[in-house]
Amino acid sequence: MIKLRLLLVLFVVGYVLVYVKLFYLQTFNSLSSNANYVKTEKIQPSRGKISDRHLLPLAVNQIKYRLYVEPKHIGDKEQLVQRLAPSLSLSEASLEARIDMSKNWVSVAAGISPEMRRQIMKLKLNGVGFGEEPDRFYPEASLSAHLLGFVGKNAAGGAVGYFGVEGYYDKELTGLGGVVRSEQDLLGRPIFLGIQEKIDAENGRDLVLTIDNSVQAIIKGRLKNAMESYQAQQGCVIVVDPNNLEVLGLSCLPDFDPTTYYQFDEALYKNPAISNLYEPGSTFKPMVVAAALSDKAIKPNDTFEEAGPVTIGEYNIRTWDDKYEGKVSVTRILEKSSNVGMVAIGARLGNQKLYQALEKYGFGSPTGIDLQGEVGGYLKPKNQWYPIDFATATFGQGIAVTPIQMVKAFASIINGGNLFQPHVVKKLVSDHDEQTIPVKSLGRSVDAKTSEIIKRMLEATVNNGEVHWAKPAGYRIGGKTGTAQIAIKGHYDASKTIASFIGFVPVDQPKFLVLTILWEPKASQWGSETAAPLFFDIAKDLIVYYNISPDE
Amino acid sequence: MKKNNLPLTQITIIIILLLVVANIYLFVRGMYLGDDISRFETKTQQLQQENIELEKKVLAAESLEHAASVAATLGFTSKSQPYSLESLKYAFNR
Repeated sequence: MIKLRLLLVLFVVGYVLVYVKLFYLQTFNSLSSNANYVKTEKIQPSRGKISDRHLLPLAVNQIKYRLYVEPKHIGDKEQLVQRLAPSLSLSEASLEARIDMSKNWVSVAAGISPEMRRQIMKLKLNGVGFGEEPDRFYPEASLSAHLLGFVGKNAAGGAVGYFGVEGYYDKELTGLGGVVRSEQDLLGRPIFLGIQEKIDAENGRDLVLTIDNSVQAIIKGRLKNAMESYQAQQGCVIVVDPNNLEVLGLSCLPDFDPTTYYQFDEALYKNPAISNLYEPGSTFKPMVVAAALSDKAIKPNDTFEEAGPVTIGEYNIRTWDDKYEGKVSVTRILEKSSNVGMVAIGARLGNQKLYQALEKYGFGSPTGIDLQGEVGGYLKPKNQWYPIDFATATFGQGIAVTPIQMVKAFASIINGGNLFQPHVVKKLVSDHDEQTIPVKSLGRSVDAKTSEIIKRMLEATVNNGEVHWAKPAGYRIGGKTGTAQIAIKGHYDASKTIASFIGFVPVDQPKFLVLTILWEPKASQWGSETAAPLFFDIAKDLIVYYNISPDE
Repeated sequence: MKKNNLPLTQITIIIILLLVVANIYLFVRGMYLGDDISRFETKTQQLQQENIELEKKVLAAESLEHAASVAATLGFTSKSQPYSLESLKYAFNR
């Protein structure tokens, strides 16, 4: 009994000693008085990945490192600089300048790859450490640069998406950060019985695009060749499914590599397909004809007088070749791309209804495509239009539109009259669910019968146009060329044009619609000799890719 | 009274001793678990980093850009147009 009591006393004394020591350590000891036992750390969410419609990756995450130095722990600064500078490809002088010995922590270099980090760690340098920095990697480099955009930094140093889908869906891609509060000992080990709280990070959502990587590769390759052949300043190709306005491919040149965007001129970041305004020229004519047919202002078999130039106020409007055929049908007006004929059709439609048609097609407003940086174009208020403005609008001059607006409007006249919002993202996928972006209908532009009529007219335009193209035999293709002069300081420069072609295959049930635009081609200023051959090259490739069987 | 208290006192002392031993055991186990958690967290982070690096390498190797670059190096022809589109009569036996 006495022994048991003695044992108890010993344990009690032992406990008291432990408590006294703990009290001393926590209250009087300088090391522990500075210690903060509860550490709060943010959990960085992973940025969502971006893939094409077949789930091929277009944007994924990679890790880069920031190299930092703790000047108080490096020892010999000169030796450190001598050993570290070659690995960083920096001069010793500039590395030495970065290391401020009066500071506790200095950032020396960012964007260090894992391989470089391993090499530097082998040097076993004191006072040198690495901080992880999430970064973005684009496996296809510049293939879809304007579509994707890039991830840069904001003023606070945080990652932010700019342009394209990286910019438009930045919030969805970023996700929500988490927090972990952990009670740790002086050595940084978690105290198991202490505070351990965690709010998990919610990773960003993955995007599945409507884009087809193969279509993207096809159009970019053809566009690059065309830019070289025709010596154009700039070019764009847009491919859509006209039945739902899913963008299958969008490529503009010159472009940039999103992984190393900072090495390129900022002017290249803007996507010309949604941010550049241009005068569409004759590619606009089918829209006006469709509006006139739908309104019953004209009938398909109507004829018009094309005797010579038309005078509107002080202006004379001529055909592109100054040749006149007398009586011409509506189809013939499109086949020969007669400006005089279009003015006559516009007059039958009426200025009021012409303006209403332009608004109905969506010109002057953004299409709402889910890419950052879209501009809406400009449609002057009707009361500011002069008679010459209404006349020139019928053949696509004097109005400014974006390429995507043209695609949206043109698609509506060949798909039965349905206006859809173009879109690039098909699905948003998270860990818990999948959200499909529905096709957004914006009403009708023309009636279904008009759509069938205009398709036949556009087929005739391809078959009987002034230039005979190398179109794939056995396939029925519809389309229209456009050659618009560029307005410079209030006057049109006859030597500078925007050449374009918009077409679709096959005529009966269009599977794809392609718009090709070349700015200031030097080899020839005409759309029929530059943008049109580019369209047919692309069409041939897409016919094979989509396995479209011939009509004839 | 005294005789009844003796076994109770003994039991109390034994319980206290057992609790003390259990306390020390749990405390030490907790320390080791904390060590293990730290180690596993570091290991998990390393594996995640390796995973991301490997994924990047695989995607770069699988990309169309890489394939095009290798094809260009190997001199693959780009003239692989299917001629059947221009000469359908052969397909249709006309």
